[in-house]
Amino acid sequence: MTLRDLQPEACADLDAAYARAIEILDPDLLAVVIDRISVLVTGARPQCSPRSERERAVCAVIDQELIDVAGLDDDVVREAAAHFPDGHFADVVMAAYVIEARTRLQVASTALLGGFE
Amino acid sequence: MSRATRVPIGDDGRPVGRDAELVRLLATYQDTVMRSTYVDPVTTELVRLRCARQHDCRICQSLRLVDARDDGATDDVTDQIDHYETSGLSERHKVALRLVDAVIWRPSDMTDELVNEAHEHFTDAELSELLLDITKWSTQKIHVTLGTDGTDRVPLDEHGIALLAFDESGAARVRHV
Repeated sequence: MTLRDLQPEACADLDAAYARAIEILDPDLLAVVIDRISVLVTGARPQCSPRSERERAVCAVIDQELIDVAGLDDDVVREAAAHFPDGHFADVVMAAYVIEARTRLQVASTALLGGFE
Repeated sequence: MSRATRVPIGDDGRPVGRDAELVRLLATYQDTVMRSTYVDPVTTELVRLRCARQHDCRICQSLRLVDARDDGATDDVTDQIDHYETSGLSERHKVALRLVDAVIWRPSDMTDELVNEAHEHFTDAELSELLLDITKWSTQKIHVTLGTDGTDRVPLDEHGIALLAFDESGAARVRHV
């Protein structure tokens, strides 16, 4: 059985959060965030790279968050947050986590169960 | 570790600029996950604390799940999490903690041996809940990243501990020991 067969309500709720997460990130930043998550969680080859200082700063946070969040430096996060003067950096972190969680579930449920879907 | 708040905080004590709809949807997901009851409370607590310690979430490390304490997850048991492979924990609990490590570090590297162990000790329903639990507890990564995982608003006792429970809706309730 798949994860969705076993946990239909939770998977539907995660789908809804995922849809909102990809909706609130601008397309260029979304593409880079999804790529970093795919590379570091699934071992996929990189498909794109950050093209602006803002994207590079966000990737520095996302990469460390994915590898070892406890090792994140205050300065690395603050540098990325400074590119979002309206305060929406918290949204970026939250959206990236939702995408990360769904990606980890897809990989782990494929190994342990009949997949995600 | 010492960790400063890294983003602007509003009057409500939370980061400013958060998308209310995403906050609501992520909370809904977490509540739904917490309503699943295939896994026993002690295993759930060991998994929760492993996530908390690996991610160094200060709030989560300060909490103890009430149901699990009632069922035997004493400090003597939870103190074994950090060195679980050489601990006296049961094989079922060791397998659960190996699953945590695999999922939060590199799930694509999960070995066939671990997959076989998982099916030996857990049903598919239990495994589905363990996977969801790991993602629920790991939402702490958001707070650790933003530096908002401080315990200043947690009602800690003299040992730095507070109690955690979940109501019928799956919502968390934290109280003094």
